[in-house]
Amino acid sequence: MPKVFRLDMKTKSIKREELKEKYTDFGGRGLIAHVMNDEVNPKCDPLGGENKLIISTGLLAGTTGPTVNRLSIGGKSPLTGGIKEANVGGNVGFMLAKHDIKMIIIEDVPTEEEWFILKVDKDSNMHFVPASGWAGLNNYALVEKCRETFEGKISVLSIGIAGERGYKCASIQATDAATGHPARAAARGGLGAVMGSKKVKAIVVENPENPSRINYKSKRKFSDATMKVISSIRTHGLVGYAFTNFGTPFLTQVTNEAKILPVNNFSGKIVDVSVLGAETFKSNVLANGGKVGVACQPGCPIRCSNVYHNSNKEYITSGLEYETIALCGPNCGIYSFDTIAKMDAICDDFGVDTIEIGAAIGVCMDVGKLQWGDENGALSLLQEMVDGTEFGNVLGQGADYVGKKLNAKRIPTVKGQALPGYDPRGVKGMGVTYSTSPMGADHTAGFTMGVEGVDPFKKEGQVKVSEEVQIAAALCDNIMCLFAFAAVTSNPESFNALAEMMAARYSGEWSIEKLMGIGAQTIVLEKAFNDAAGLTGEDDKLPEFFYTEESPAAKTAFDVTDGELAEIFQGVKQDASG
Amino acid sequence: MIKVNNRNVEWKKELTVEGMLKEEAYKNTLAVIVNGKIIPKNQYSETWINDGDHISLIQTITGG
Repeated sequence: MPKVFRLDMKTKSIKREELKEKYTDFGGRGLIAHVMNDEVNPKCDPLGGENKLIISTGLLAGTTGPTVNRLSIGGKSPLTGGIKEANVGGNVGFMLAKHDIKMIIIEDVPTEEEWFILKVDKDSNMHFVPASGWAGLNNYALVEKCRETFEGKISVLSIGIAGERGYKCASIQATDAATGHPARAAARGGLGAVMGSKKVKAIVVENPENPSRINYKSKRKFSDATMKVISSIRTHGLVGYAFTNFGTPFLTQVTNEAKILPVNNFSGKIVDVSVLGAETFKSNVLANGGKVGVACQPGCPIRCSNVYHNSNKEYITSGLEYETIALCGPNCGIYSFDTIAKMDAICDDFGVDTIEIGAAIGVCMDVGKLQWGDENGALSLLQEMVDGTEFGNVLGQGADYVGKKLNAKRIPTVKGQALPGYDPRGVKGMGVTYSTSPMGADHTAGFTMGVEGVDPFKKEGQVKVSEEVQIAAALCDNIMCLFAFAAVTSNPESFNALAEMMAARYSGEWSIEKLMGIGAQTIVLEKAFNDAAGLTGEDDKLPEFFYTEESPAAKTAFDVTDGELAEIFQGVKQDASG
Repeated sequence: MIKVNNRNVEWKKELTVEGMLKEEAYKNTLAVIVNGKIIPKNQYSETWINDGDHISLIQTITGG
């Protein structure tokens, strides 16, 4: 049975438990949903002693399956007031799986002003390491110091100063498999602030001396099924070619042509984004000594990440992704890769969500605090946040807080969380997902772009489509990276192959229906937590301006009614209660 | 013979990207890459598919 570690930050006690029987069909996000419902008061203060920070690996972690070592981190979100799961690539999930650690549950808060590093040693035991002298370090310096201090090859989860200060958009950073930099982010929902409230500066995982061996039911059948899944990735146009060759920056032209790229705070304005095109990105990166086709987690066949060097050929960041480009770029009227990469680097190092910060700066520009496209002004605002000035402290609380402080009328958030890089008026199923996901506005919770049978500009059928993809996404977050999952679910044969992998890894019967049941149960649990936390149908809607302003690009406004939105998951909830 | 998403497909003469996307299996396409070059939508009708071309059709999108 895989290990569960439970660490109490008040008493400094560590308990080692076995995974509960009823949890064994769940991984990642599903485990978090279970533990939050079983153990956490939904009305608790997210930054108080009752909240828990949960770190969990996926159902196939440690196996040779592709992208299965993605790591989920969860708790009650200080940003949304509801349940939160944010998942991240990098090498921490793989290292935890090699220790046969399924879950780490961090409880309570210290009574003293003392900081700790939580260490998994080479013998798979956990320890509190006093680290008060480490407070005040941002992520890059912190990880460098970890490498000087701890033994052998390590992977690290960490928070920067944003997490120490309890900023609501604070991220938890993970070390990248290819570069070792803390450049992968469990970014959304302010979980870095939850980690900071518990005075945990970092979780350091040493390489195990005796790595755990997976006890497959049938290794041969697992390998055969894995080959089918890998074949589905290789024959998928997006993840098997475009992302490997260009990375997620490939999406900027696609979303612009689809009339959903956020421009000037979701104005719906039509712009020329050729300077931010994927081919320009790739040629710049390679000419400046950077790389594309980089794997963020060990063994990934997609390799969608990159190492970005600026035009002075200096390393800036690793993993400049579409969401950062969209929100910190055109959404702020900024059209320079070097400037966007610099913004990304500051956010990774300080430890904040680039979607939230890009949206917040867009709001600042919309109300005239800065001019559209003011690159130096945007960088100065970020510096204010790092310095902790009065407005910098406001910025660190995210787009919703910034907008309210500035009396903005157009604040692009749902449940307090900023919208990612897809204007919901031109892809209305995504608007349904933003509105109704237990996570707040989150593209990874149910991506509807390209789904057959519905017109993205029209509302008909979108609630049903969003429900289906939200359940599928919740399943995905129990097992693997969303990109590989997109290929897996692109045809019945490869989706069946995923069920075959589960059957070859575990005992029992596995089918697509059983897999989708895991996704449905995850959503039902999350909804139950949010209901008990006090979130209502009033929280399940887009900001008013998306309903009242027609997008000039999409030539439509969002028009899915409250009543239609309220229909989502009703059948799933009934099935669960029945 | 051409490759479409890494699978062999019979090549047809005088076929443009626009013509190819009229086929039922390719109707739901959001973006097209031919031999590593991303084809803007306004160039679909003037981009010819040649024998031996490698084509990636992007039919679903998922972002990150």
